[in-house]
Amino acid sequence: MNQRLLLAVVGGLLAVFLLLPVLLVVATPDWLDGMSHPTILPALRLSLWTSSVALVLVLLLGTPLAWLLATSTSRGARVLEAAVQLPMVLPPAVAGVALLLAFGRRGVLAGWLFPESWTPAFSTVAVILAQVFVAAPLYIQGASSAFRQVPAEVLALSRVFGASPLALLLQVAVPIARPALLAAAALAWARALGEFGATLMFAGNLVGETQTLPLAIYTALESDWQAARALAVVLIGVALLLLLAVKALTPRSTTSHRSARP
Amino acid sequence: MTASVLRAALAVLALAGCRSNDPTELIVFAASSLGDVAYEVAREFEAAHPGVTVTLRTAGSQELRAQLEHGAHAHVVALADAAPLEALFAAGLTGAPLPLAENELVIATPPDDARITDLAGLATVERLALAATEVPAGRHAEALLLRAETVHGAGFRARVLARVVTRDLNVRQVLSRIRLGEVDAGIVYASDTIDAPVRTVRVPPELAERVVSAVAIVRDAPPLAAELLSALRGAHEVLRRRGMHPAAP
Repeated sequence: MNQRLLLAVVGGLLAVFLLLPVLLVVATPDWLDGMSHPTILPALRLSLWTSSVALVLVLLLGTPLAWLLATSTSRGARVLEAAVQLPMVLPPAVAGVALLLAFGRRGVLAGWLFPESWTPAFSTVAVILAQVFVAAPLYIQGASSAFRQVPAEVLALSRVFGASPLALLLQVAVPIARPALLAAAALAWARALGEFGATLMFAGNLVGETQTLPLAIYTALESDWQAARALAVVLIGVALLLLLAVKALTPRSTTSHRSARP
Repeated sequence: MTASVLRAALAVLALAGCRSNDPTELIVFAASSLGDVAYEVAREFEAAHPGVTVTLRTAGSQELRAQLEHGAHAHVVALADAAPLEALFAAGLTGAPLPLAENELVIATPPDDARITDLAGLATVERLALAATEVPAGRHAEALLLRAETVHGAGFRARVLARVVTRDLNVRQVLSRIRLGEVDAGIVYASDTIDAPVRTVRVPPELAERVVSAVAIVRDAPPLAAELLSALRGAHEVLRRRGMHPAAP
């Protein structure tokens, strides 16, 4: 019992450290006056729909990649798995410059990937690309370790009963790994929602076009402290709703599912 | 007798409080656009005053203003625009602001792009970068575009703004987009283009937007701070070399 108390004190210390700054943003009510700031609604709308599109892209493209990485035994797959994590550790501004070098007007892909002089840079497409760039590695990491938890016997048996490779992924592996996949997707969405540096560099900062909630906060900090606080409260609220929704979707016991395994 | 005891006591008190009121250290807050000037003047000042160190902190004018309002410690403040200094003065945090130098807004383009030759050219290219209206550079740019309507016709400002793809929080960020060639042009301070690999196009003098930077002494700063302020205002050659016109004394 006393040991449990000790654990609670140590763990509680971190919980307070994590929650206190966030609570203080919300708790001092002067942000209420900032709620009428004209950039809040366009930024919220843009953030919600771009991060949703980014999430769909991450799920559609990231799930097959994570599955291949988890089930392949080749050394190339190990190297690739480490390499696709790189965008996660790049400083955000570097990620933005890297995206410009690839997809910008003078980028290497500018000539042949896009029609005459079109480039995604400084458009809403750039916002989504930046979000996918930083959020996908998080999902791939979570999803591939989730797929590794799927018992090999189950997969082998499914193959014996004639499951095609696609059916094996969609009808066997994904349902079994679902709780962990959802958690990884939630993290990726939260990361996309909070994306700042790469977006600023690659997409620019224009109300209604590319100014997401984090960029609106950054801009408002220059002139209107209350509006910046109001924007932060909106962002925290959206992220909280999102994380709670995932918790609600996830079966209560991912651990018991694992420990129930023979 | 009592006077000397009192003086000794005051000296001890002064020593005790010397952490930040040390007369041999002067702290200067300078706007990013004035950083190079402040650096040069600071080194000259140190050379002329042995034992004195001048510590420099540069950031955006708004940011420095916010830091001072939240209790940051400084002795001399130099900002790109008089308005935030007037606000600090009104709040009783600094002495009255004095003009430092005049800066002007110019058009900057990538070095290999000669399409824009005058202000009207801004309405002919595809992509522009401007400073946000939350910062002085952006407000001055919009004022310039509005004034240009007397020459280039009503709606000129709107035609230019329709090509703006990003509103950045400082001139250096606008310049970085131009250097990368990702935008065709931007409106920036002339002083920021001195070292930058960009091509500049000047605005006709009758339309030019002149921005006056200003300096002030922070409340309770030591007397040496006033000397440093004079040195900054007197550094005409340094200011000119950095693309600014020194203000009349």
